[in-house]
Amino acid sequence: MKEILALIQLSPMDAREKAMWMMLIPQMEEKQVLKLKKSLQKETDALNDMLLKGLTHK
Amino acid sequence: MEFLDYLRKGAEFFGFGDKKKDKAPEKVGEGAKKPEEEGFVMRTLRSLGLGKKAEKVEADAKKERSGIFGEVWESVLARHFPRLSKLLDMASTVGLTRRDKEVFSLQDEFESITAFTMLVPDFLLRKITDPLVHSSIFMEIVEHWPTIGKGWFQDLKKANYDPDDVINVLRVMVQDLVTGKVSMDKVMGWAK
Repeated sequence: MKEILALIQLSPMDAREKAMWMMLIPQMEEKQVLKLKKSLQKETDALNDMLLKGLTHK
Repeated sequence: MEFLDYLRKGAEFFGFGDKKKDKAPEKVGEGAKKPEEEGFVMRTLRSLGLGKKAEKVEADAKKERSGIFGEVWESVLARHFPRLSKLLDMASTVGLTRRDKEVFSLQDEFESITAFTMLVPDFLLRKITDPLVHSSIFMEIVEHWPTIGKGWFQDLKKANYDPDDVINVLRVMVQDLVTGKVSMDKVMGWAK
């Protein structure tokens, strides 16, 4: 649970979308939380990779 | 159709759904957020000339999340707001809203038929629900079902039970099977 909350906070979503997911998480089933976690992780990883490549190539 | 308008506004508020048609289309690269609203990562990526690529990653992730949101919303509605859930299913059956891809065959048909039972008078609906509540196998499954509370089960056992409750229980069961919360193997085990 802590992990998904941290991912939401770190993701580039806007504040209201973050608030919406925070409210919905207690209502979500384990499988749905895992799906969301995977999606957020994928997005964060892709942006971090891009950032790393961009910074090292400058 | 006022409630559909409210829902659309709600979805728009959270950033899902189509924006109003009268708004000018956003140009690629402009992004929906103002620069001051963007996080450090996005601002840095933009300054490195990777803004468009990053926007695409964000857009793909948003699309994926909107799918998850729809799934969560449906199960919350089926459990806590059964009437609204049925109204939405009725709206999608007549083509007012878009339907999600079905997880198993006949899922759409089941959801449509159970939604339209709202229009069936109780005395007629009982003709369908009576055999179910009098079936020991069905009641055994309801008793074991993890997301159906004991209160709901006790209500079904009453002689003057509400037939809509039986339909709501069936809809919750289907939702749980769709989201994988309960597996068919488990159900078969309870039915023995």
